[in-house]
Amino acid sequence: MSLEQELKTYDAHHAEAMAAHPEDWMLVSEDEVLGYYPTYAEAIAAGYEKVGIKRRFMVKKVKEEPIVFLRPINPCRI
Amino acid sequence: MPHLTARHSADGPVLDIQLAIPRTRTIAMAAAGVPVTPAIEIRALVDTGATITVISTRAFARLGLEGTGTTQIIGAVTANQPVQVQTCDVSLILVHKQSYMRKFDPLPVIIAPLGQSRIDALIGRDVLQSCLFLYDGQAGTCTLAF
Repeated sequence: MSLEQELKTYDAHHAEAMAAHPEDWMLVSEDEVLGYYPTYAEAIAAGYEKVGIKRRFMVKKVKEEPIVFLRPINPCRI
Repeated sequence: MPHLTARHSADGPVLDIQLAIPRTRTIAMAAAGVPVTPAIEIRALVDTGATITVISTRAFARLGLEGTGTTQIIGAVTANQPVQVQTCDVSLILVHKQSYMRKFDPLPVIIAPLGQSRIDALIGRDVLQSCLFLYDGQAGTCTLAF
């Protein structure tokens, strides 16, 4: 379930995205940015519509703040 | 008001809820001719310290989900340094007496191993922000109204 390639693509386009779409969600599949959407739900729906379930895609907020966790969970790291 | 009520367990305020594949994914699966796993029943701990909801790797595998995102978390376990973690989207379903259900769909959740307990989700404030949560320590019950 690795999204390493998508994260690299996100990072490569992050500066331009921050300038043009800071409040949006970026949709990425492999090395391609497929679009920017105002809500998570719209970005996810576009991902399934454009990519489907045979390939991976990633949805990630452009201007992202770290989420604070008080409970000591051990999440799946990238 | 529709609600779920349970007695406190040793784990804390634990409720029985359902998790399912989100609607947009089921549409894509149907279009691809892939069978859709039905909703599963799980035990979920209400965690007011969690900003967003977490599901276990076990529930993630049972539903056959795929990671669809990442986010950064920070806290004591990360030595207060931001760490990228995997997320996916799910449909979280609260059911009141088999007659009313409230769906959070799509709900982005963090995927994490939640240990050997039978808890498969931490219900975070992303869900609680549209509910009423009552923790009655004297009566030993908790209620989530939705």
